[in-house]
Amino acid sequence: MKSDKIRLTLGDWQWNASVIGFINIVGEENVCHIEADTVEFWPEALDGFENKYFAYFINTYEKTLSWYKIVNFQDRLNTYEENNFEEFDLKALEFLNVYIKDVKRYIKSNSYKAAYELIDSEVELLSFEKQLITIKEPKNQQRFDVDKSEIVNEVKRRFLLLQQIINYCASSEGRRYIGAKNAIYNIINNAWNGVSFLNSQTKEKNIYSDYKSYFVDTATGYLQSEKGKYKYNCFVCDAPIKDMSNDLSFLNATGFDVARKSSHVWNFQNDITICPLCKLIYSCLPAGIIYTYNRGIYINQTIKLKDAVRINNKIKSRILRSQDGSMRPIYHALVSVLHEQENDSAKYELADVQVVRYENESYRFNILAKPMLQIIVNSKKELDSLIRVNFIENGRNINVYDEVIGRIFNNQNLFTLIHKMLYGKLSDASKCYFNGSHVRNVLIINQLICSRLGGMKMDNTYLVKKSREAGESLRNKYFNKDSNHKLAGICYRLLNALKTTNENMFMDVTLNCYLYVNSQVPKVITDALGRGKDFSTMGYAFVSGLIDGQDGSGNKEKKAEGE
Amino acid sequence: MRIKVDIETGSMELPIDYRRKFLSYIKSAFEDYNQELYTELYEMGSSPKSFCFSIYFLPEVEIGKEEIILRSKRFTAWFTTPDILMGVHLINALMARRNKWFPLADCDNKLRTLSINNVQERPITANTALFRILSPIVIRDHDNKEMKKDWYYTYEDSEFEIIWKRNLKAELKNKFGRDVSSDINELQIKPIKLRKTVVRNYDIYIPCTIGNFILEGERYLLEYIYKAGIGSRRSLGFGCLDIV
Ligand SMILES: [Zn+2]
Repeated sequence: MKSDKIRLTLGDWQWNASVIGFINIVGEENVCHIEADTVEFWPEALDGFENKYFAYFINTYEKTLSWYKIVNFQDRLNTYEENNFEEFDLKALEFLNVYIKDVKRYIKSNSYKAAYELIDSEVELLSFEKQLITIKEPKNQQRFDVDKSEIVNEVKRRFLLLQQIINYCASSEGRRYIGAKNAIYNIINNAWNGVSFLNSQTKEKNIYSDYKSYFVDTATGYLQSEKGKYKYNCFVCDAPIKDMSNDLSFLNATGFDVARKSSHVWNFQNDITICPLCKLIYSCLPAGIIYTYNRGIYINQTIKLKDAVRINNKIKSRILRSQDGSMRPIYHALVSVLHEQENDSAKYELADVQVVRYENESYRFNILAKPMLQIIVNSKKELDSLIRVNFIENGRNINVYDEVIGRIFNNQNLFTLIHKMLYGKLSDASKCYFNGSHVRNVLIINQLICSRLGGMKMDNTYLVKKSREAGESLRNKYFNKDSNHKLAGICYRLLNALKTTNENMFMDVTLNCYLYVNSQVPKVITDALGRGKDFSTMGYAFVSGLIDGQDGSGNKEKKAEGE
Repeated sequence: MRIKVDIETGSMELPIDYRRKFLSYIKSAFEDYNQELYTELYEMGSSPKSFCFSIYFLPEVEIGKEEIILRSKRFTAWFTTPDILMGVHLINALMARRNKWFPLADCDNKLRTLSINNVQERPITANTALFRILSPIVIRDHDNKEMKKDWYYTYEDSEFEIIWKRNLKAELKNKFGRDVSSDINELQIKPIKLRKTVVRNYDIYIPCTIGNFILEGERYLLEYIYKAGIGSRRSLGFGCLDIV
């Protein structure tokens, strides 16, 4: 039977992400762009689709999988054995014990157990788990050196076990099934749930067969069926369908976007009926969104499918490039794609494009308005300095870069963030991985934001720089009077005044400080009074100089001017 | 805001219109500190300056008809202002003069600012406050029509309260973003040892009022009067109050 080419045309964001996911899975070479927003492919692309489906996730996210953490130990294991454990020290032992604990935890987890049933092997991995125990760590390196030969013997015994576990996992079947299980519970279930291999009641143990029968076979069967007498139509592609058995309820987080006109119907998505082919495409949604640590991002470029694939792939390679366990800010990839565009018009190709983020099990939407992109483009230097800047607030790690971009996208200024940073620095500096120059850069970006939001004209860096210098200089005067212990209390009072934009309170505290050191209140402070956002900027920059005038580049600048 | 400034004099003799002399000291401090601000304060016509001051001579002191013998060679100038920025500027201007001698205009004396303090204000928590007059209160009725003459009233005159309230209404016309005339009408002065005195200023003798009084009324008005001072000629060193 001759089959026709199948067409996919862009639509709503969730559909678009699914189409991109599908293209990612089958490979762009297997689809044909026939119009800006439409691709075609031959039904043959669906042959063995279940294998391509899992292979995509395993290959793309390989280094983030627990499977990888197990097999990646092979290199270390080889190195120690090759040089006869010469370099094996207490640190190495500690590392090994952590690894052993991880391996034990992984290989006795339910998802691993389920994978064993599919792997054709004599090896009983669970029996290894019981034998695999950590090795007692000596108190210090000296004790370690004394007992080294005994310890190394122990380690060798563990290595024998570990080698078998690694061999088992690293086998092609091990990768195929354990990798797939990892992908299901780390990646795929972010997008959909409750059906096929994610249905807890499923009778099919083989996840590949389950996916094939639930999604792929249904779709190909439908494609070959005689549709002449079908009474219903697919909501997405309008093709005739036999019954109303397929809907979108398997997609997570009811991802409707209230901001878009066509979307009101998505409130009733459980009543929406789709054809089996569209359902198959929707199952590719997790391959369209780029995930990192339970967060996801998708750029909904709706004009050209080719561009959508390209931009999302750029972001994907950015996110995954150095994904070796370090926490990458979700926005960083997006912004670096912006920054790496060579000319201005390319920089703004994302203007008015929708960004979909998946966070805390729900979808969030932003439109990248051009002024926001301009702020991001113009503050590249400052933004870059913030990539690894973190602090801990109430036990939660806060990435300053993400916070800044998030606020830019939401049309908010950064004063509350600056407040949190300074407050954190005052109350527990050990939980704040930043210095004064980072605060200064946040302030400079904030000046840019404020000038976009409310027509401020003052030079972005001047006010911040001068105010910081004023703070630093006052700080030095307190040090000269041996009164630096008073600074923390002063900063708390100033921050409280700034939080409520109480200029009188702020001035009262500052004035008394200057009287205490017998100095005039600097012009940068008196000039900012009564000037709204400028007052806040001045105040926060002043406090940041007062808190840590000693580190960061701010101090160098001050010295250069010979103050 | 209340600012206390301790000042040393070069010699013991001070002219009787020392307020005027001291004012020129302040003016030149402002002129040196910030020309723009100086112009705004002193050259833009008769705009009410937003601070008032009073001078307290430290013992021993003899006050004669033409001059004052200040044996301590020390006096304290008190400044009050409702405008914190004004206060900061004033402090900045005087800060630049700390520990340096500056001549006192048209007389054989000089001044040196020793210390400057921002004194905690007393909170006003009720609808009544007991005020002490630090520098005499001037109530002035300015005849704009023919004579261009000033009439001064002291507490003993029946016009005192009427003119004071009328002037206060004009002063606060745009201050609180609403009409406060009725609140001003409600203000009540209860005298405690109020009496009349005559002060020489720029070759004229001004009748004014000194002593203590209780003021009853809306708290925000009491607060304003506490900080801004009361009556006319405040920038020349009149109408400065404290709470007892
Ligand atoms: Zn369809």
